[in-house]
Parts: sequence; C-alpha cells; structure tokens
Amino acid sequence: MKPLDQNIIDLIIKHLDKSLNADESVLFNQLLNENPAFQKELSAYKHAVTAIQLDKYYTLKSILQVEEKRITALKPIYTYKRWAVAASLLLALISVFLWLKPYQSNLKNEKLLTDFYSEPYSARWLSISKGGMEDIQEQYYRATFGEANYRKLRQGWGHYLAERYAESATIFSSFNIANDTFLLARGNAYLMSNKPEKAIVDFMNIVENNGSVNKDAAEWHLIGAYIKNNQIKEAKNLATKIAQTSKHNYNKNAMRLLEKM
Amino acid sequence: LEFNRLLQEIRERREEALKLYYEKYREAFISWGKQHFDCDIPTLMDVYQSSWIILYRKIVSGELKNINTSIDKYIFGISWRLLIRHKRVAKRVHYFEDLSNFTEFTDDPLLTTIISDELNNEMITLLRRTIENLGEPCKKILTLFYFDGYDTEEITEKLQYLNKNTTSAMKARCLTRLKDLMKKPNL
Repeated sequence: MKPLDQNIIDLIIKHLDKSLNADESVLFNQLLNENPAFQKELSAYKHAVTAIQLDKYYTLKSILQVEEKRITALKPIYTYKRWAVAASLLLALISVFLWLKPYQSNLKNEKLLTDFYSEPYSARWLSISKGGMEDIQEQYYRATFGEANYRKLRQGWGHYLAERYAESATIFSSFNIANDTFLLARGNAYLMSNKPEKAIVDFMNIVENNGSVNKDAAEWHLIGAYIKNNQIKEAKNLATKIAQTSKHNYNKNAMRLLEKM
Repeated sequence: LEFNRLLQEIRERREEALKLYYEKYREAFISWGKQHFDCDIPTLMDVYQSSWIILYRKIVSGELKNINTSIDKYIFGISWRLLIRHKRVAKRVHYFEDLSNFTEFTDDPLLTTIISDELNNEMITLLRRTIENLGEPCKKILTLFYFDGYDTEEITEKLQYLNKNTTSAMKARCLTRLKDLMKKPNL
C-alpha cells in the first residue's frame, strides 16, 4: 500500500485535534468513505492517542494505588485510636454516671424527706409533754424496767425532744418495749440518725398491729424509712395504697408525695 | 459550589488535588459499593481509582465544566458503568435504573478502552513500554495535549518552545512516531 502523503497525515491529526475546518471536513469524510489506506492510518493514529491516554491513566492509577496503601496503612491505627478514645470517653462517662448516680438518687431522696417528713424530725406529733413521759405509760415503765432504766429512758426522751436523734436512738435501742408510741418515737430516732433499716422494723411492727392508733402515722413514716433506705418501689407501693384510702390520715400527703416521686 | 471547588483545585493542584478528593469520598464509596455490589474491597477500590481518573481527565481536558449532581454521585455513576459492564457483580438491578441518567459515560473513550475486553495485562505492559520508548519530550507533549487538555499555546509556554508552530509540528511528529512504534510487534 502506498504511504499517505504528509497533507493526509496532517488531516488525520487535525481530525484528532478537532481542528478541521469545513473544507477539510468534507475531504476527511470523503477519504474515510473511499480510501481503505486512510481508514487504516486513521485507526493507527487513534490507537496512538489512546495509548498516550492509557499510559497517563496507568500512571495516575499507580499514584492512587500508593495513596490507597497509605490510607489503609494508617487506617487500622487511626481506627484503633479512634475506638480507644471513644471507649475511654465512654468508660469515663459511665464511671462518672455510676459514681454520681447514688449521690443523685440520695439527693432526690433527701429532698423528699425534707419536703414531706419535717414533722417527725421536730417530733411535734408526739403526744408527750416536753421533759415528761406521762403519756407513754410512765408507771408501766417504772414497774417494768426499774428506776434506773426508767431514768435512762427519760434521758432518751430528752435527747429525742431536743432533736439529738443519734443519742436518743442509742438509748432507745437498749430497750425492748412493745408500745406503739415508743416504737414510733424510736423508729423516727432511727430514721433521723440514718438507720432506716431499723426504723423500718419498728414502723412495720406498728403497722402489723391492727388496733394501733398510730398505724396511719407508722405507715406514713414507713414510706419515709423506705425512701431513706432507697427502697423506692416499696415506698411507692405503700404511698399508692395510702393515696387510695380516703380515710387514711395521711391520704393527701401520700398523693402529693406520689406526684413528687 | 462543591463541584466548582473541585474543578478549581484539580486545575490548579492537579494530582495533589486528585489524591485529596480520592480520600475525601473514599469511605462513602466503599459504603455504597458494599451495599450494591457483590465484590471485594480491592475490586471496589480499583474501580474507584479508575472513576476518579476518568473524572480527573474530563476536568483537566475541559470536557466537563459542570455537573447536575453531587461529586460522590457522579463518581458512583462512573463506577457503576465500570462495574456493570466489566464485572457483572450487581446486587440490585433496580438501583441501576436510578442511575440510568448517567449516559454521558457511555461514549467516554477512556472508559470504553478501560472496560474493553481486548485490553489485557500483556497489552498494557506492551503499550507502556512503547510509550517509554517514545521518550521525552514526545511523551510529555502528547500527554499534555491528549490527556491533560493543554492547547499548543499552553504547551509552548510550559515547555518553553519557540512558538505555537514549533510545538504543533513537534506534536505531529511525536504522534506519528508513536503510531509507527506501535506497529512494531516486538515492542
């Protein structure tokens, strides 16, 4: 096949460069339709252009492959670090939360006790005269415990009325008296001196005594002891029961308490 | 705005910008690829790399001046073409219907060549060896013109030739030389 002259080559290159003018386009199409050598040459030039493009394509591909290796090499460390930091933060948050939770819970409980149980703290509800034990069967105590113990008991009452609950609780704890008024006073002394579990026992003994005039008061204070002892479920159950009993002396108190709980 | 920034950065910083954007959309691409194709990560990354190069060439050559979608979706569109036509690993056919508007890639010569069944490793090696044999400055002139989209005036300035005519003549000679080299079967 006869080699194509330079003008024809120029025509092909101009076509590849998209710079043919109108006349050149006509000539180009004519050659393309009629001249197999031209077609072959055009194809060869097109392959040359494709080769140049592919060469650069693979050069860039190598660059991106290196980049990919760099990214994946960094990734595990980066991911590990990221997870480690996240885990540390999470652990710290959990620790703070767990550390604060009892305090938060205690704070809430203390607020409830302050709001609803100021009465037993001042012991104004007790039907005893300041400094005396007339209303709690003075004669019975004298006869049962003897003069020395009776004086000790009076000392306990003195502490109680002076709101020195820890001292009164210590003295009361040495007596075993099945008297609801005594148990109510001792239960409150325990409650106020941060011994709610002992307070619960005393209040429950009154509650279980169906004929007790102090039953309603004992139930109400039992809720306070439950709250102090963080037995919220028991406190809510008992408060609900009282709130549903319209004749209960502490019915409205229980309703308000439930709203706050 | 996002695309304009990409356009500007790739035109100014070229390959450095390519690497930055490659990393930027990489995670999103892996996530998309895993969701829609049954292929391993190396295959996905191979396609992702090809997609960026095709987009890169379209930008530097001036072919692509704007897109009517986000960059990541544009890359997904190119990748979809590469995966569906070359690998046949699609998980969900309906997804491709969503991407059927990416017809602009069908006629992209570089993409068509890459996914061509005729292109094998032996051919690639031969081709790259031929380009190496072409040597400089031919390789540089032809790459600048046919890949990077420089015109003869820009090449003249970049390679400090006398004038446009000199550059143009040299480019023509280089292309002819390459065409001749490619005819030699032992290369």
